[in-house]
Amino acid sequence: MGKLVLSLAAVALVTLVLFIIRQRRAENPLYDLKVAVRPTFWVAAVGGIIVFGSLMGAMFLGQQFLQNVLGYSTVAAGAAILPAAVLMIVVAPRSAKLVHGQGSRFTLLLSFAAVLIAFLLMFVFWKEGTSYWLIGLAYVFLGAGVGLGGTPSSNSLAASVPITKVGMASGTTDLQRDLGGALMQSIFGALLTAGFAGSMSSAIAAAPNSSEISSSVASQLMLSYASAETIAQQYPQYANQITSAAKTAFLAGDNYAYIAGIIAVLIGAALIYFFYPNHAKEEELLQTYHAADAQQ
Amino acid sequence: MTKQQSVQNSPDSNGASSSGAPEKAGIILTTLIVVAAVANLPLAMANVALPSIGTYFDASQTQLNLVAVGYSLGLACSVLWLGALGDRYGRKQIALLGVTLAIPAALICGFAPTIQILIAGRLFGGIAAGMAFPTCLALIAALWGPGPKRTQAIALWAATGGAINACGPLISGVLLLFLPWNAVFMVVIPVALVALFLAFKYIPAHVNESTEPVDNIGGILSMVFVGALILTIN
Repeated sequence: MGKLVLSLAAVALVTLVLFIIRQRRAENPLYDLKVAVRPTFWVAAVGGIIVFGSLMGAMFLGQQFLQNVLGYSTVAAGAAILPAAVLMIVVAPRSAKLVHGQGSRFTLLLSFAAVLIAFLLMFVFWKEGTSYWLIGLAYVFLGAGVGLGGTPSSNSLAASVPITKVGMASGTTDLQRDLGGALMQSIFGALLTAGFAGSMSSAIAAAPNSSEISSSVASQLMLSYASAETIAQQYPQYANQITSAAKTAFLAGDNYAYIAGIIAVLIGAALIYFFYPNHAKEEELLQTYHAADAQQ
Repeated sequence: MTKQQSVQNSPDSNGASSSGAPEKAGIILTTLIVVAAVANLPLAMANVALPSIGTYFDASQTQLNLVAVGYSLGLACSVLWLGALGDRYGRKQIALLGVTLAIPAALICGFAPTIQILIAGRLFGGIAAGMAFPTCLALIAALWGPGPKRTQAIALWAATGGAINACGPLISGVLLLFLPWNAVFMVVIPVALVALFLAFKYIPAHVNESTEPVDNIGGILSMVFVGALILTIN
């Protein structure tokens, strides 16, 4: 597995270098790097990666938390997200007004603040026995954040490219969702697994009969919530202890993942704060770009 | 390249104005939202069905991960190249092709006799989505001139896409209460048929497109790069 990942990473790196060389030399580059380095393009692209990545990462964690720890059914866990979907639609028209009234930078920062509050609510309040309104409230802030952030990020991308090349902006919008989702899900997933294994291993060591637990059972228990549950079914006399240890361990892993989410949002906000132009400068830059593109 | 050469049609001859909304803005935006839904639904819905798929095919975790990732892999790696091809050869045409191909892709997944064919169907579906998806925002930008109306259109389009993503798990969860896993892949077919009709009828062709040749070598490189990147991350 490690070898495969390394060789894939090497392929990605080599093709990235070849791609950059090709795009610098090609007469009609597919991905115009002169356009991509415009701050209204690359900062918006990175901001969108974090906003959409947070949405998918939080959904990925939330679905498991609701089903494993709170015992929701699949359908109930799916329905629990609905406040986020509603807020996205409600907030979107307002975000368009904000982009023109206050600028993309302000709107993006507001979006990051909402996503930050969502992760903080999850980190502080999402525990065993949490009532639904705290779950829904976190999803409300998440939805508001995505509704606020989706507009300025896509809009800045579309506004930064020449009109005959908007496919480049549109493709980047899609990559934001795909790369952001893949990145956040795998980071959250890895932290969840590591946190779960760590907490479970100390629970096994602390168990009164820990010497009786074979190493193969112990590694099964540390693998994931689902495999710990399988073991619990095999040893009904310990099922309660195993399930409660697995819930505690899941929450430990969950907390690492929320902290990672909080850090990602703070990094993104700092990036936007320092590198994205303010409203007046943004409009000035976009006009300069349009003039430059029209002359080509 | 002079400006005359790079802009194929003058904007006014196609109902697209240089600032403000095109004619029939409402129905065009609805169409683009439905087209994006065709691309997004299979992405948002499949994960909930993975446990049942695993049991049905007695599949390994790696195979299930490929079912989950296959679609976004096909979509992400093809999107830059296909977006540029759309800018050059016709965004409407590429969107129609993508939405059309989404139907056989859904059928392949829904009726897959083996997990390998299911994975191949997911990859194929992702590439079809790679044709449909990048044309949506491109068409909004080409038809709506820069300004508040374009931003409004982008806001609605992006938010609806996000909301559909968020509803995916609920839709498949409800379906799985009554139907086998196959149904999760078929949901997109009626949506694709509606999208096909709307797109054929309402999307204007060849507005503000490029006449420059497409950098196909760059396209292939971008495909390998993004594909390897997504697989590395996963």
